[in-house]
Amino acid sequence: MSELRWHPLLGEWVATATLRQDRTFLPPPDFCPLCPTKPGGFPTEIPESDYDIAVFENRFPSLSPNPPEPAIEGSELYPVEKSYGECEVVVYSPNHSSTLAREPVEQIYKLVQVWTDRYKELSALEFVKYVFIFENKGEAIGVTLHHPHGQIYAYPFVPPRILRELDQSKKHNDETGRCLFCDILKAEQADGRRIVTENGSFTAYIPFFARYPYELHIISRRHLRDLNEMTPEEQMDLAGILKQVLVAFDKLFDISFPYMMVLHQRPSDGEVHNYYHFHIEFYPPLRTATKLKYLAGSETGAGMFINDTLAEDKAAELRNLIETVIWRQ
Amino acid sequence: MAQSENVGQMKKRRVLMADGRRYLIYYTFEKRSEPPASTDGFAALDNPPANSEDSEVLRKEGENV
Repeated sequence: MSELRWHPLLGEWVATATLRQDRTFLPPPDFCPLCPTKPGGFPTEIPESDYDIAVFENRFPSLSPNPPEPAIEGSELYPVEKSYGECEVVVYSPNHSSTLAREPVEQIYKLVQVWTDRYKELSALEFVKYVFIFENKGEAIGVTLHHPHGQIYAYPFVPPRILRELDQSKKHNDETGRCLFCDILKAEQADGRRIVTENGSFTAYIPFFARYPYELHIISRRHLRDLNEMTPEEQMDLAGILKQVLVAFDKLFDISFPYMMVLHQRPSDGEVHNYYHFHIEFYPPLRTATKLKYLAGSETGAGMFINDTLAEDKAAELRNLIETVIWRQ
Repeated sequence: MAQSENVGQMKKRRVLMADGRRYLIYYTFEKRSEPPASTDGFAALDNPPANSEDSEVLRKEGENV
């Protein structure tokens, strides 16, 4: 059963996807469905091993290009829609025990190129209005497979978090004639205390308004709206800064650091969205090596985050762990 | 049936998965013949430092080549 149910209180869609209850949950390494199929071994999702990165349609999708009829009839109060869309899995490497942080920068550069290709292809689908690229990493986030991978959801609507950012950016642009994100970047660079690292094309910083202790944003220094507008040099710089940030995260507590990583780009709804600006946001759930930042009553029930830390302090911690990237190929 | 496409250095091969319904895309890349140009925050090397570890591509700021 899979459908979109309208939430009249919040004015947003909720997807039901009951088949996801049966998805593979933390299998032992020998039965990882994302590893290449071994000779004589059980058949995984990926029969061959001769690839750098593999992408496939999720076996347990919440959105589908051929969605089933909704299991329930909608009404004026409770509209129901078929759950059109795509859910893809992006396997970062054939190596089960790797992580994006442990992959060489050259592999991350390949991933940026694959993201761009997926963005282009999925954006062109008639029923797709927003392509959302993300990674959930670590059991603390609820990850069910350890093999290094990310996901892509192609939504049939612009999701509410993005809509809110679009509204705020448009308002700022209408009032000042400038890009909100460009102004934030300028303010962060002028202040400097929250900058974690920079290269020729990107800046990584803990935002002034961080909601999680180690929330980190990576923003393009040029006004880009989506992956498709990047030059090869910018793609390489994005790979480089991702490598720096991911390694710093792992060094922070000397663990494979859990996080949610999300790419925010302009919608694929046919509008221009000149006032929007490509960026990546990380929401790590840890506030110390052993303590989680829970989304409790205020965060979940009221929408107001309480951050127990100062962005300036956390940026300094991460800045001290930044190393220089060296390309080998 | 597999469909292949080349996008720059990236080769894209699209096949159907075992269930015959879903697609699977293998992405492979040609090895670059030239190292990328160095930009801020990067150091492009023809060869890694002799003392580097296998999978490590990082050096402390200031300890770079």
